[in-house]
Amino acid sequence: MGTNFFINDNQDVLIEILKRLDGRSLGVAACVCRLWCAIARNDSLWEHLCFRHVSPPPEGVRAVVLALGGYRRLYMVCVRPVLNRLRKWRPIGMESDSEIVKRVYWTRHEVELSLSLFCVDYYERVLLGGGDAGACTSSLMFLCKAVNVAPKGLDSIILPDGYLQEHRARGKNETPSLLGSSLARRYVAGDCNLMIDMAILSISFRVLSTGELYVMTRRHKERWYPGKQAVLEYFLPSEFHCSEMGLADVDSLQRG
Amino acid sequence: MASTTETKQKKMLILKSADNDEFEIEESVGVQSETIKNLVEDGFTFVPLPNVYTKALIKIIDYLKKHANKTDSNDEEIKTFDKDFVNTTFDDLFELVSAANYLHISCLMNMLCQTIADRIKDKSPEAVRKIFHINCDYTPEEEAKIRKANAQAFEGQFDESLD
Repeated sequence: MGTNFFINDNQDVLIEILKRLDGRSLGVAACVCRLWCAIARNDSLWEHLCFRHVSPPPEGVRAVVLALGGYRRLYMVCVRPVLNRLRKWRPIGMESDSEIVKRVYWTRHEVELSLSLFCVDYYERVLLGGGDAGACTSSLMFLCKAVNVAPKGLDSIILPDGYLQEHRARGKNETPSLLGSSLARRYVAGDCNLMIDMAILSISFRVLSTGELYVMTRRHKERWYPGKQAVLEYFLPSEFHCSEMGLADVDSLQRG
Repeated sequence: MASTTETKQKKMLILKSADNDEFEIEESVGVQSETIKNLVEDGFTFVPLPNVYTKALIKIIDYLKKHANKTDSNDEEIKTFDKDFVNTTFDDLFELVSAANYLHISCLMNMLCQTIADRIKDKSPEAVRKIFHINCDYTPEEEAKIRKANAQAFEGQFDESLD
């Protein structure tokens, strides 16, 4: 056996196999030969990779992901850090079954976090002038890294480690503007939960056929804003960006 | 076990492999393959399989028989069977995946592709090429470039074994 089958003559089989690799192995696969590279670049493969552990897969995010840079980038920038983090946490209490440890299951919250981070990445990269913004102190990408502050008996609680630093730097009485007062209070009381963290990051998008991107934040329900101002106003701590981005613009939007 | 009268009533199929061996199986076992099912619906009882060799066909018939008898109680048994089924060489897996693809047996296809993917995880490009018998068609410059573009994949250790 073995002489009758050559994988590169069976592209449908090859795609089925590559679809089941993880991100790292897919990067290796691209280096095998030209055909593998062409297949590994295909965004639908990365789409599968991003959300294969989610059931049901998130709906209606395709246009947004494509508009913000594609699934490969989504995986590399946002899904991978979250996955790595979950891999560290989820095995607790599951050691008996190695299969479960290997497969990481996503909840809606991880999907939301990834997509939100992806949008942050996009705004920093495209609208704030590319690579430099990612490194500057006001970047929100630090949210990819997280510390577990879950009280005993709860799991999957995610807080960005930047949050804790922010919080400590300001002293107990002051609330970090980034993450909101309710979360801070709950954290101090040793009882916070994932939903609040997500709620702060959660934003909705609408991509028009003209290519224009509109954003709705959870705080400003039922109102659609052109992406840039609204997202920045919502996300960034006021002392970093208020003057630069012109809050007046946002105000006028809200009024009119 | 089925009694003689029941056996007579069961519809049978003959599958013929690429190397001309013939196998008789129950229709209910065979129709788990979409390809065979379509032929059966068109009235065929003799099914030539020019792309499936005897060695793979024997294993696949085993698989189909086992999975045709799936009940609530033998779940563990089937899991063990599946585990043994894929515990073989890469070349055998390729032959099986090629057959499963031709026969359109989706659950088997899924299991084989997942097995192959799991087993090439953490291998170097060189090892993957050897496993799949692929010749590298990059120039050295192109290869250096593509490796650079995928630098993240080259962090850490690779498993260079070929099994």
